Order: sequence, then structure tokens, then C-alpha cells
Amino acid sequence: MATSLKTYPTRCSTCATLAEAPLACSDCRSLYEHVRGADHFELFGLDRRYELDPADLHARYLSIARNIHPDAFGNADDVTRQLMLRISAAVNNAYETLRDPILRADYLLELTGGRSAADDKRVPPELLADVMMLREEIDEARSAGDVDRLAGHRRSIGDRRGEVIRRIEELAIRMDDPAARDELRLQLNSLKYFDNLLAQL
Amino acid sequence: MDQGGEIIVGIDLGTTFSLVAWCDERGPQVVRDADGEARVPSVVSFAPDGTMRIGWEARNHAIENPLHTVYSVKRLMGIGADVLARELPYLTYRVRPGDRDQVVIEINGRAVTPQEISAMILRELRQRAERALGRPIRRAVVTVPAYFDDSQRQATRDAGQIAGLEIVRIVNEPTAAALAYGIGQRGPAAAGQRRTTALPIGDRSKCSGAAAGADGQAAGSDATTLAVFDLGGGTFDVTVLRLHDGVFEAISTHGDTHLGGDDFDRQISDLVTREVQAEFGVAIDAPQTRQALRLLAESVKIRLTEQREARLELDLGAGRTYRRTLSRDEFERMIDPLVRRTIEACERALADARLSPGDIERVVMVGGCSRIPLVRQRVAEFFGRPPYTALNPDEVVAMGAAVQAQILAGGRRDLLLLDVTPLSLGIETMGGAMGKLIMRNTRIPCQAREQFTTFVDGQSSVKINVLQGEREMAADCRSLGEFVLSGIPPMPAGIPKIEVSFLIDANGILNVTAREQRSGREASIQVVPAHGLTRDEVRRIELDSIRFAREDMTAHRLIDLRNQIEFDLHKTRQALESVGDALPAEKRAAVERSMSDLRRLSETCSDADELHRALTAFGRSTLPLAEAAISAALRERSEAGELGPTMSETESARNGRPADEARI
Repeated sequence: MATSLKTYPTRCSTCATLAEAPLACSDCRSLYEHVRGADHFELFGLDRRYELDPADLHARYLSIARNIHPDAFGNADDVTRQLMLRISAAVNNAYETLRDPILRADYLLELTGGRSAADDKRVPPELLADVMMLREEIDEARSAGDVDRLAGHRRSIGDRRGEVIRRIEELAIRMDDPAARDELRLQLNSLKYFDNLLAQL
Repeated sequence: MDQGGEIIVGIDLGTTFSLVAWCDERGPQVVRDADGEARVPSVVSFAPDGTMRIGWEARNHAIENPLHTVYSVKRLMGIGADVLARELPYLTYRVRPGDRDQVVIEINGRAVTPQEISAMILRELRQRAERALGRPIRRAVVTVPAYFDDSQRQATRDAGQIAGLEIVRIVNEPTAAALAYGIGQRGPAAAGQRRTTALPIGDRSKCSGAAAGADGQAAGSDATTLAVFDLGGGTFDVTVLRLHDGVFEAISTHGDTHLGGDDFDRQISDLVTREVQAEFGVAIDAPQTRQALRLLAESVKIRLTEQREARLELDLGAGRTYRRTLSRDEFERMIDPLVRRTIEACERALADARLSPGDIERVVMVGGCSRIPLVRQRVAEFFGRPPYTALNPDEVVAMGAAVQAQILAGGRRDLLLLDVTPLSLGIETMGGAMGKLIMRNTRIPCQAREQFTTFVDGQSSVKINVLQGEREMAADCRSLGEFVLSGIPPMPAGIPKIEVSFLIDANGILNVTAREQRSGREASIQVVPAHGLTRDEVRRIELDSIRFAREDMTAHRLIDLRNQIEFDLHKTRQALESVGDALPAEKRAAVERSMSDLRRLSETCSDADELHRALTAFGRSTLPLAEAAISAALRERSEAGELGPTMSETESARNGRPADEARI
């Protein structure tokens, strides 16, 4: 499952400085060739797998940002500044995707192939009935003005959402198993229902 | 830092005061006048003959010239008629809705945009910097409130262009303040210094599934989590940032672009207006009285920062005078709802950052109104720690802007600002809903793409209404304008696939581009801003102002300078007659000598720069006389027991600023 592209080059091809960070040289700031068309994991020099250390990802992100942020190119020509603006936007998007456990699982699913969760649209079989019942109970509690019951619902739905996230994490580390990928799609889709319920509360 | 002798300055373009700063090897330096004052009032006044005054002079004559003294123009930048309706009751100059949904100021029958007024302030700051640094300034970093939307940021950038100043970067005020604060903690680095620490390749343990924003624990032990509480003359922001090894990473921001010192003053103005109506049965509607009331309210607010109570006195004409004492307790009750709003914004910023008040290790206070005791008290209560007040809250933003200018010039490779967009960005979808594309507090630069198609066969253009805001319905959000995609090749309905890219750059300004996917053609986009100037309008105003500026350079500047010299000589003569006896004979003779020197120069010299230098030198040489005049005036006033607007006005005349504004 893990990709072969392990890390970034050891030396910058432009100025031959020892590479400190993926994506761009920390000395001459030229972009490494291999990152064109790279996926989010490759951008950060990471293996393509679900488990990651948020602190490590953050450190990698900062290290890249130092060398590609448009502010580091204040004296460069317009074309370079525009390029760095777009690359920065792409790296920021990649970072936001990878650091969020749900977005990361969804993204991995997309990379692995097959249908994305959004295209699949299916949810776990018992969910729709559950959600309908919960919605009725919430409406009842609301019309009765029962603040305690509403708070109780908020707690229990929050708990169930937490369970789903834990399940997603379990499944996402077994991404090469087709059955795990299948259930992952359902679980990712079910999150939206809990989010909507919580938004109503 | 110093590109071929060029310096990029940092400008804090404030609601009530503006400042300019630069960076050298010592660190950030604020440009000061001969008295050491860095603040320039953001006030522009126009005499009937067209003479323009900017700064202290404009502010000090505000009461005499209420209709043509423009203040707090920042609150009018990039707004529409809806916001104007709330501002109008408190403005003594004339403002009305202009073309599209913008506002214009009427000066001597001419319509002037808020961007042009801001440009005049920017020009003044630029000249100050040029005098201080002895070289031309072409580029600047300008700060804006973090909560400024796209229209307000665009308007600020347009003001720069009109002033002939290239705004190389717009920085959020609280972020700039954090930069200045962080530099203070870090100390000025040698130019070009670069971080050499290797990237940590720790072992990758299983993801904890932590909340999206909560990588606070992930940032390492030397990271500091900071909140900047910035309550200025007209705007409020709170920004949560993490400082880590020279990187200033904003996590979330919240605020209100119409909440600041002006609103505190208005509470006092409203109180006086009500009481005058009740006691005398008259409305305060004469422009001069309204202006006097506005300045009185401001000085009372400042006095109540240091004193438990302040006396108010307002001359209503026809022998009637309104008098009362306002206690700090009473003032605090009046402003309590406003202060509460700032704390609510802090709650929301923390919620978005997924942090609790206890996670904030330092609360940095910025802006003049952060001195108000109630504000400090509430902030301390909320965060559970005393706020950090060691920085000068008036100057720290300009200093931060100067540091950012140095970063852009390549002088500080060890520092980097990473900011967020304050408001969600989206488009109006079918049924008038707001379809969000970029969520608030997303790190910038960021980009979102959306596909559009046609509804009619052969349709060649598509209109997109771009929105900013958090509400569900488009009508409740701010429209940034209508983006018209044109040049779509004729195809049956629904077949064209136009991919539109919404890119928010590091300035927080939106850039929109579009491409028709099937033909691969770049679609062109025309933008009709909802609350701003079109590119053509900005260019036209810029050209006009360059023409005016050139005329200014030749004839007007000389005339203005000679008038000013006449005026200053006259004032000095008066002062000499009334209090000259208080001066030692040799000082008196020196003043007399400078007077006749200046008069001779004014009659013979036609080099404006030389006249300007001479006038400045003259101002310095007459300082002892000015001091004698102040003491005499103060003695007189305290004997007469006078207080109120007349007093603050007289006091202002002494050195060009109200004495009340002593710092705490």
C-alpha cells in the first residue's frame, strides 16, 4: 500500500544544497521537478497511508511554507510570484486535507481508486431509520421546550459521531482491503447525517 | 532589506490616527515629528479656497470647519448604503450614496470617494517618511482590520494606487501587532539570517484523530499561543496565533469593522443629546455644536481612562450651557454592551480555533481603546490572566507592518506570516442560497474551483454573484460584486463546462479566473464591484490626482507655504506681544531674528522645498515661546475654572494635540 516515493531528493538540482524540505529548495527556493503532479502525501514527503503524526505533518508544512510562500518572493518577477501564489494555495489545501482525519480518509479513498464516498451515496443500513427517529424525538423535545432532553440528544449524537470517527480510523488503516474501503464509504457518508442533526441542535 | 537604496515602509492607516514606520538594523522605527509624536490624525480638511490640511492641523480646526473636515473615513471604505445609514447620524460632513452601492463625500460641491480621502492621508504619510529617510518612497505595506472584507481591502489598495503608492502587501492589523511583539521576544536578527534547523523526521505514531484545529499540542514545546485583542478607533479584531520559530501562524480571527472608540464616543454624544433635549428642549443640530460634542465626547472618554469622573460642558449658544459630571461607573454601564460584544468575538475566535481561554498563553492588547479599564478588566476575566500591555498600543501595528515590509524586501528570511481569511466565501446558488466554497479561517493563499454551465442554447455569458459572510441566504451576506464570464463558445445548453477558480491571495483579496474546459479557452471576466471602484475608475482618479499633484508642485504648494508662513508669523507676533515678557531677553531676540529671516525668505525664495525646511526650522526655534504661551493659557483657564470643548481646543493649539491623551 505504501508508495515507493519515499522522500524528496537529497540535493537540490539547481544549487546542489542538501535538501531540508520536500517541494522546494530551502536555499535557492527552486521547486523540485518531481513534485509536479504529486499527490498530497508526496508533496509532504510522506508515505501514502492513513497513520501520520500531526506534529510531524505540521513541521513539514511550516518548513515547506517558508520556501514557497509568496512573501518569500517579494523581489521576484510577477510570473514567479503568481506561480508561488498558486503553489501555496495548493499546499495549504493539501495540508488542510491531510491534517483532518475525515478529509484524509476520504482523500485516501479517492487515491486508492474505486468510487468516492460522495459518489457512493450509501449509508449503513440501520442509519436512516435511526436518524428519522432521532429527528422526531428532537422535534418533540423542542416543541415541549425540554432543554435537558435536547442537551441529552446533543451529547448522545456527539458520542455516536465520535464512534463513527473511531470506526473510520480503524477502517482507513486497512485501505488495501476492499471490504474495509466499502464500509469506509458508508461510514463517511453517515457522518454528514450526524453533522446535520448537530447543526439543528 | 534595503533594495538598491529603496525602503518599503509600513503604514498603519487607522480610523483616528495613522502612522508610518520602517525597519533598519536596529529593528522597526516609527517616523516621528519634531515633538516625538508618531500619530498623524486621519483627518483631512478643505478650506473654501481649496486649501487642504491633513493631520493635526485639520483636526485642530475641526470645530470651525465641521462641514469640510473629513474624519473616520476608514469606516466608509468599501461600504454600501446600508452601513452608511448607521454612520450618518454621527458625521458632521456630508456623505451620500454614490454610483452603484458606494458612498461619496461632498466637499465644496465636489463628490469625493473615501478612497481619495484615504489616498490623501497616505500621501501625507509618504511625505513624512520621505522627509525622515531623505529618499523617495514608492512602496508600502499597509495594514487593515483582520475582519475587513474583500471590498474594504480592495478600497484600501485602490487608495494606495490613487496616492501613487504601490501597496505591496495588505496585512491584518492584529497579525502585524503579533509580528512586532514576536520580534520583541526574538530580537532583531542579522539581515538575511536563515533557519538552518533540519526538518524533524520523528517516528510517525498513529494519528490521534485530534480535532482539525487542535494541533496546538503538535506545535512543539517552544510554540506560544497568543491572542491579539485589537480595539482601535473604529474597528475591533481578535486573532488567535501560534508563534513558532519565527513563523507567525494565525489560527482564527473574529471581529467587527464598525466597533471601536468612535462607538464609545457616540454613547456619550447620545447621552448629551438626550439630556440637552430634555433640559433645554433643543436639538443639537448645528454642525459646529455637533463637531464640538464629538470632540468633547472623545476627550471625556480619554479622561475617564485615568480619572474616576470627568466634567462636561457644552456651549449651546444663546447664553445656554449644558453642564454635568460623568462618572466612570456611569460610562462603563453605557459601554458595557459594546465591551460584551468584543468578548463574544473572543469566544467565537477561540471556538473556531478549538481552544479554550486557558490555552492562550499571552493576550496582547492593541489599539487606543485597549487602555479603557473596563476593557482590560473584561479581557483579563475572560482569559483568566492579566493582558500584556507593555507594547505601545498605538505604534505596534505600524512597527509590525514595517517588519513585514522587511520580510518582503528579503531582509528577514527567518520570519514568515501565515494568515487566514476572516469570512467564508461563496456564490449565490439557485433559490438565493449561499453556497460556501471557502470556509472562514482557512489559511491563505487558498483556492476553490467550481464548475458552471449554461441554461440556454448558444448562451455566451454567465453571471456569478460572489458573496462573503456566514449566513445561509445570499441576501444576508455581503455581495462582492457580479462576475460576468463571457466569450463562452456557442454550444447547446448544459454542455459548456466552465471551471471558475476563486483564489484568495496573501492579502486576503479574491482573484477570479475561468476556463471553458471543452474548448480550453480562457473565459474573460468582467467585475462590477458592489461597493467599490472599477479598475477604470481607479485609473482615472489616479491620473487626475497626478495632474493635480503636479499643479500642486508648481503653484499651489508655494502659495500654501507662503500662506502658512504668514499665518505662523502672525501667530508668533501675537504670542510675543502677550507672553513675550516671560522669556529671557536673548530668547526673545532669537525669536525676533527667526521671524524676520523667515519673512525675507518667503518674499524672495520660490523654492518650495527650501521654504518648507525654513518653516519647519522656524517652528522649532519658537518652541520656548509656545511653551510660555501654554503655561499662560493654562493659568488663565484654571483661574476661570473652564472645562469642556473650548479647553481641549485651546490645549490642542499649544503643540498640536489634545493634552488629555496622555498614555497610561
